[in-house]
Amino acid sequence: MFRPVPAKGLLKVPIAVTAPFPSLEPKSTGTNVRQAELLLSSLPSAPATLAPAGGTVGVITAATLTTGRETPAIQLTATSSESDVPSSATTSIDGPSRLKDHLRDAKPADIGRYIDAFQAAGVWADRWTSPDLLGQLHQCLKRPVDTILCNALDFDAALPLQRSVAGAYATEVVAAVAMLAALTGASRAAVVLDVTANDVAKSINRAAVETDVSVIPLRHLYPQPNPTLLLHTVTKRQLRPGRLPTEAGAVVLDAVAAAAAGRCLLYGEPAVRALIGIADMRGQGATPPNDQTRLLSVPVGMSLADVLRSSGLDASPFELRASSPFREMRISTDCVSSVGGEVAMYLVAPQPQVNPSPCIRCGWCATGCPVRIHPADILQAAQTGDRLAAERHGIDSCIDCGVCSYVCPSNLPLLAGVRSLRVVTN
Amino acid sequence: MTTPRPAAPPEDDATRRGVAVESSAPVLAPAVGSHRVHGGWTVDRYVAQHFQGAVFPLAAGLLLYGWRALIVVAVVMTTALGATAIWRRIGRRGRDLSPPHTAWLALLLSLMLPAHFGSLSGVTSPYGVFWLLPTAGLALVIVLWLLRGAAGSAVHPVVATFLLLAAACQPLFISHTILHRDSLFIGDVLDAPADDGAHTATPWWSARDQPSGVDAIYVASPASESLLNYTLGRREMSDRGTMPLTSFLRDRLPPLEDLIMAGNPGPIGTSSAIFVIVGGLFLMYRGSIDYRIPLLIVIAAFTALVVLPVPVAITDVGPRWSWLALREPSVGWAVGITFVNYQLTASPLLFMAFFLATSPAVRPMSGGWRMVYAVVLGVLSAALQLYVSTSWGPYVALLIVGTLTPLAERFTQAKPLA
Repeated sequence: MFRPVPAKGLLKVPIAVTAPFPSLEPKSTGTNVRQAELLLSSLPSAPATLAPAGGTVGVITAATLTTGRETPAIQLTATSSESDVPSSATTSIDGPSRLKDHLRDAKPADIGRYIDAFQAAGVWADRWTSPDLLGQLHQCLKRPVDTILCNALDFDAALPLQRSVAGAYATEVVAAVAMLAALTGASRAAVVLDVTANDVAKSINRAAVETDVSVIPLRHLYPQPNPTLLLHTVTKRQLRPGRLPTEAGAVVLDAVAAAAAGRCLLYGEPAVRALIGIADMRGQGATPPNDQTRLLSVPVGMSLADVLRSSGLDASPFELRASSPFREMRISTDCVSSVGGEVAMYLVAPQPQVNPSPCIRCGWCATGCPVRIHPADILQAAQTGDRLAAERHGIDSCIDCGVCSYVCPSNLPLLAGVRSLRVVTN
Repeated sequence: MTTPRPAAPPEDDATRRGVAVESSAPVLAPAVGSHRVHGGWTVDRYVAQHFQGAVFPLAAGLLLYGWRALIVVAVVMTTALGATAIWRRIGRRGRDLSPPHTAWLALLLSLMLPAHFGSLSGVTSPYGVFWLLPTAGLALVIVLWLLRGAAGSAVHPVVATFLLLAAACQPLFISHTILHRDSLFIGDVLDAPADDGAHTATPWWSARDQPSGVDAIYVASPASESLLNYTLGRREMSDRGTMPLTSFLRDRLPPLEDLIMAGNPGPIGTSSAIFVIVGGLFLMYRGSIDYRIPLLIVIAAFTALVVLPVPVAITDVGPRWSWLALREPSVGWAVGITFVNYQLTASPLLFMAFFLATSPAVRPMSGGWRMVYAVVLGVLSAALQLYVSTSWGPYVALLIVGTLTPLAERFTQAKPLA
């Protein structure tokens, strides 16, 4: 289901650290490395930087993740082209029985050991549908958590990435969720699916036979995959956007992150390939035909330009958006793929620049807002730089979904207004 | 809110052409007005949807008042649009004026005006009634400009403009003529006899005879004026003895059918209750307005009109007031409800409920407070039209309640989810 893209040419393997960047000690330039070999010494609280393919180490450079974050990266010139075919070691492993063994031995005291294992395998996630996974697990050391939710909802039917991952890697997803529940002592562990994903639900239920992992079917409307909304829908708990779900007593991760964690748990497999989805929305209809959607397994560090070229989707003109087409996150084709960055990408036709009309106070932005804030009033506050007024109208509750901008008949840049005020404040 | 300035064009020519850029830095905070996936709705479409609902009262007005009503609508809208085109270029506030939105508001304002304003007699004089039309259009734009395009306050610009004009020229706003059914649309509504002859109980649209040689019917005291006089306890000079409510309804008011269908003179768009209701229901069907607002306004007004004290009889020494008049033996349920129906249809309450109170400029954002707003508005409208002015009471009520909306919203705004 996930077409493997061979690694070739120059890769920029991102080092998943946040600023201020620590001093880095990579392998010397010119060193030949094998796939999954460490490229630099481990950094505390950061996932390991592993070679996605065999090749020659280059210089330290900068790369931009698909989340827009700039990060240092190690250049790697790939010399071999391993694809995502499970090695003989993994195919011979019985996932469910391995899971049973893990579950039997798992104790909450072991959570630190598993966090180290994930880091060493390069497993991480920090995107809109899956907040900082390692950060959540670190917080589990200090905070009680009673719910594990695996978010297998997609932004729209055009790109069923999470659903496909949950279906193709059901055993791994269930393994990750069940293990996290066992390690955190959570009383509830579930995979959240669209109500129409009956086939995936069956796969998950089959894989979860001897675990406590359940399936929660949800009637999915955008932007349900957002953790704040998801947590509220499933558990009625409130989570301020930007905060980790552990603050509300839950761990939330999406199916892609769960699959990577599950493969690490069951097979010891390092996360050197990213499962991503690209939907070409440049056609006339709202839903692209199947042949314009790509589900790919790409090596970490591959530029999106190379990904598009290899999947035959680079016919211009286009604009590339990450996460969701409504969130206005335009990214360059220079961005590199990563295990933890945004994994859903959309090609849209370049939109003509539209000058906004005056606000007519139709109220559609407030009515459409899933978190019940007043985007029009926030934009007004942003224009005057009035942070207090923006807080009164709920800027801190904005989940950045872009519904307000989508529905506004005046074409006002409501989402941009919220973001600009947040940038000024930060 | 000020309208954002358009974004500066991108520096890179390739980006401007929409070609994928190979080496530029990623842009994640889009510039103002930049490329966005959008639902496709525009202000023009939004306003057009409302225009569809107004077609019904507008059609009724043109039929009942003829080409003079058309003049009123055309002049007000043209003046308003012309003023908008000029004013948009002036200052920061000018950018807040939207031509389609102004056109919609101008249409509403023209529907609230009487058709006899479309009179060209006296046009050479600055005091001619015709000049109220461009004044109305211009005043609307000025009010809109002051209110920042209705985005910065909870005052309905049409109501504010109307009340300003009405306060200055009150007697001129009373309409006394309406076209006979045989001269609909093409007739001259000012071509009417000097008096209305004997009062008839026959509805206008069924069997009333057309006065010979004229197009219109003259009504000395329209229903709204008669009702107000009665509820204020006023008597006409010719009245002697006691005037009970029953007699008043039977002898002094036109048939209720005239107010529901047509036949009682009034403003262009509010003379036919049925057309106003159909237009409002159409807007509800299209989802353009929140059904709770007009529904609760009407229910609250109905209840208030039943309960509030009204004279059950006007005697030589003055009116005899009674709360819940229908419990009086001399009144009863039938007469009481009929009186309430007259009040609802003789005033512009229905027009206000469907077309004005549902405006985003005045109605609250949160659902809970909308219901409170509608109930308060209905009760206040009923009170004002009983004791202040049947013709303008609902508008004044909307002005008062609308200005309280921002204050109430501060305390009743829906709590964010997170």
